[in-house]
Amino acid sequence: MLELKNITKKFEENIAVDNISFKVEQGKIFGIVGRNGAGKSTTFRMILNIIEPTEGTCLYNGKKIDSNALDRIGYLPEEGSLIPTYTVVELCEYYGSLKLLSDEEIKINLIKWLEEFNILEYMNKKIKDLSKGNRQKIQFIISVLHNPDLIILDEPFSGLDPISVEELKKAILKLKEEGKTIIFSSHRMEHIEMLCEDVLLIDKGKSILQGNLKDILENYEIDGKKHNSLNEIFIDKVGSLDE
Amino acid sequence: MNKQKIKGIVRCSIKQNIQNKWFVVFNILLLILLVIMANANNIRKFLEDNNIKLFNDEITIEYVDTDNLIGDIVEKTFEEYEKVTVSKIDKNEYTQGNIKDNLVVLEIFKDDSQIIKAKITSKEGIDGGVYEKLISILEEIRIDQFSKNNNIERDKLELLNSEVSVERVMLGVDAENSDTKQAIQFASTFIVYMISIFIFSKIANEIANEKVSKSIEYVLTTVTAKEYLLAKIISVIAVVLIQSVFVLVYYMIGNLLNSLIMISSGVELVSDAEVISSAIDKDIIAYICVVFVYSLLTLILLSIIQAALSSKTTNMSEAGNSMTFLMVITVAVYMCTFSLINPYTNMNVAIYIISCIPLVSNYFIPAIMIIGQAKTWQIIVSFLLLVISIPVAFNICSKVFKNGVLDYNNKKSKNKKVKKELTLKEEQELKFEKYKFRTIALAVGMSIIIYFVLQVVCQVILDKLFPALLLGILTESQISLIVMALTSVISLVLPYAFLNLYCKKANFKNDNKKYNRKFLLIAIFFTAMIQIILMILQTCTGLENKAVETILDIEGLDNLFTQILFVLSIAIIPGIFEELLFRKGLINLTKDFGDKFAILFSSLVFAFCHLNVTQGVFAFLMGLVLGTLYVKTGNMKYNMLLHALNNAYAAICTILITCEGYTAVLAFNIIVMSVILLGGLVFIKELFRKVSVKEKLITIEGKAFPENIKYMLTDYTFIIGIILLALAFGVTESMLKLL
Repeated sequence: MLELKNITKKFEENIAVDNISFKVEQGKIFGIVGRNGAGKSTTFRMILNIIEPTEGTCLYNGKKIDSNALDRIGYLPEEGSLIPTYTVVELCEYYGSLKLLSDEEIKINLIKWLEEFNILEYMNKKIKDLSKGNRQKIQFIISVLHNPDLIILDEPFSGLDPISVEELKKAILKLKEEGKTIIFSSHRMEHIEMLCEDVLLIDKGKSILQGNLKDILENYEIDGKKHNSLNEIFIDKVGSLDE
Repeated sequence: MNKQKIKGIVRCSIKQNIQNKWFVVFNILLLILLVIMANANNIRKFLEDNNIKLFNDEITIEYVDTDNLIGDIVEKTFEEYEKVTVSKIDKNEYTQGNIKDNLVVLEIFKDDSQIIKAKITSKEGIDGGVYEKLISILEEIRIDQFSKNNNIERDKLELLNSEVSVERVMLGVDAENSDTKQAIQFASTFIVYMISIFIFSKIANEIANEKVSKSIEYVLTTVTAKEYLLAKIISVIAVVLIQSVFVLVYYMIGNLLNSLIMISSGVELVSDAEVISSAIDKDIIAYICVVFVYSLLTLILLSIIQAALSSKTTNMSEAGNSMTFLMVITVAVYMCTFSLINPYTNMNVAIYIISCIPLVSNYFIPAIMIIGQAKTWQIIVSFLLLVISIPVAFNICSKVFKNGVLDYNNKKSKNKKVKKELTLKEEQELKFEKYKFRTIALAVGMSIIIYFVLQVVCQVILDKLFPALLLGILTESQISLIVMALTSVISLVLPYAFLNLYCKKANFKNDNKKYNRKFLLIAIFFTAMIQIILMILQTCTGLENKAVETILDIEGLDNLFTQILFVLSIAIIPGIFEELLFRKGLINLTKDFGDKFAILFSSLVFAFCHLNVTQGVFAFLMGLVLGTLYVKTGNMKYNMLLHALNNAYAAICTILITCEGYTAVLAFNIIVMSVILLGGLVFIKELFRKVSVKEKLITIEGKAFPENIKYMLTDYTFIIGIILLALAFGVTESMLKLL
């Protein structure tokens, strides 16, 4: 349903994303792995039309992404995108109105998700009074508030304690069961290994490995030895690329 | 454009702006203020009715009338004032100790040239009304006396005293309404200015807030930059309009309260609307409409530009700074309007053209309309330009906005001039070098600025302060010498302190005293050579060193104390403190770039700070010698000694010439010459020494001249310092020519 064809983004002389193509199937979880500054966030920003790709196209259900398509996409930016002086409800009203939700829909969905994460008591608190983990949860709630078909999560687990990570994982799997398509990025392999079906490994803007996670783990060999850990494969690949 | 989404943003933004504790606090204050203003008449009446008077002091006036000029005019004038008692006394014997509060003593005498003279004594300032009455009494008496003395009738005298009656007619000006219009223009420009500031701060804060919190990242996934920009501008203008409505409501509340009180106290009411409509005709209504339309359109344009500027901010404190640009422009246009356009202006093409430019037209067009010189084409052109400029600005600014708002980095776009052959390491090193030079430029520029500012400030303050404090104890020339010494201490120490902040610790002290003394002697020899060569050049070219002559021109040099002060303030103190700033400070600061560069740079600054060519050339050469001495010895005391000695030579010679005669000067010169000769001998001896030692003694170590020095010109402070220096140089040079 989402397809990227030969996407490239240049910032003056600096190439942030170099000729990346991938396809995400409906109802699957797709993981993007890479070091800091590898080009993950830039790729997401191009999918979401925030920045224009220098070359290549993004297709969503076979069409170029327009504002109607964007309304069906949920996005969790990497760094906090919450206005500290707003309360949780005010912020959800603001962002919800941008997704054309009515106040009633916003209220029902917000309460449902706050209960899911056991943080209903924070509903009328200001963002600046929340802890980093709780802010991340609110950010996740905002990205799924309008019941989107495609959810893009940029580093969703950063700043969360182990219990919160489990809660969020549960929520992501639940969304998958509902038939949503989810793309998320991480630099932590264990999160990818636990959740994803398909992965894309990128480094310095280039795709270095992509495909079905199970296939990769079964078939990848280093010096004739099989490896079960994505982490080792990644380090091997990135190491070889540097040479 | 998606109207629903724009509506959503506008709705949230307005709500956030209005349901906000500061909005409420501001509005409550505004309400109180406007209610008080609308009810000022009632408050005044209440105070009067209850006999609460703010100024109800009793005043006693006593007058002395030795020449019998007054008669009973004082009593008559103050008859109706209950609080004022008037009495006649024989003599004014009050002093500061025994004069009472609220007592005014008036004395009148005859005077030959001025007809009469008067003296008014009181303990403190007296009530303005009473003073005016007293003055009018005096004028009355004076006219009386004059008519008596010259046998002229009083009526005729009064005729002469009255103002000439002039009827002013300006046919080009709509005289009937021009006052009202001028008042409206003044009020409207002020209101527009206040509203602009309000809008700037609102837009700057909101956009910076959303950018810094990165919520813009999320928002831009659902709306385009254009939609967002439009929504923000609509919401801010809406908030302004809402606030204006609130102000009107407060005014109405105040007025209603006023009517309520008036009705209850039985006064007949005059409706406000009637009062206003009776005072305004259709001409003025049209004028108000023009002002309103232009102001509204300009505010929209300004807010679009402000939004684009705000998108460039990277933190909240920058949000405030981003307002300065447009605020300065607005103030400048506001000022220009009042200075360029008034009833006496003869309009020319330039003003007509300027007035058509958007952002200027909203102030200029109403002003030109008032003086009745507006042309129809001008109004149409300016209006069209303003209307067209809004979508144009909107399109440009939304692009700038989108680029700016997604760019969180503080650094500017990459320097494209950097050649491609540079490796990453070299490029980074170059940047570091640039950074180092900019730091030096900041330190040098700032210390030059401090030096000049302090020179001026010290001279102004000390020149006034010291004579007042010390005159009588010391002579005038002694005081001016003290002022000179203090000025040089203060104006040299503080810049040195600033330079010192950026200096690394110098670690090139040479402890070999024998060598150091040799260096000193050689330096003395060179100094003398420079002096002699320049003296010969001066006599050949006929140029005089006026700057030095003016300094040495001091009276009263026969006094020992003056002599000591003279040597101290001309020779020793400048010697010590100039060395601190120009040698220790500057050389330590720049020594990293090699000794040669440090010496040359410090000498150049030293030369230019002398502010004239003749002294500058000498200072430059001296700077080279002194700089080398410092680099070689690393010890400030030799430098201070040499500098002080050099200055002291001229000072001591002046003293000896005025007090002792030429024999003493000759004897002194012989001593000096023998020291110089000794220095010369040491120099020649060192020249023929073994190579290794000669290298150490005479040559200067140094790296290649740093080519990146041009980066110093990228620092703002340094440029301002140079401009200041150049201007001061030009001014002193031309002043010296005039002498």
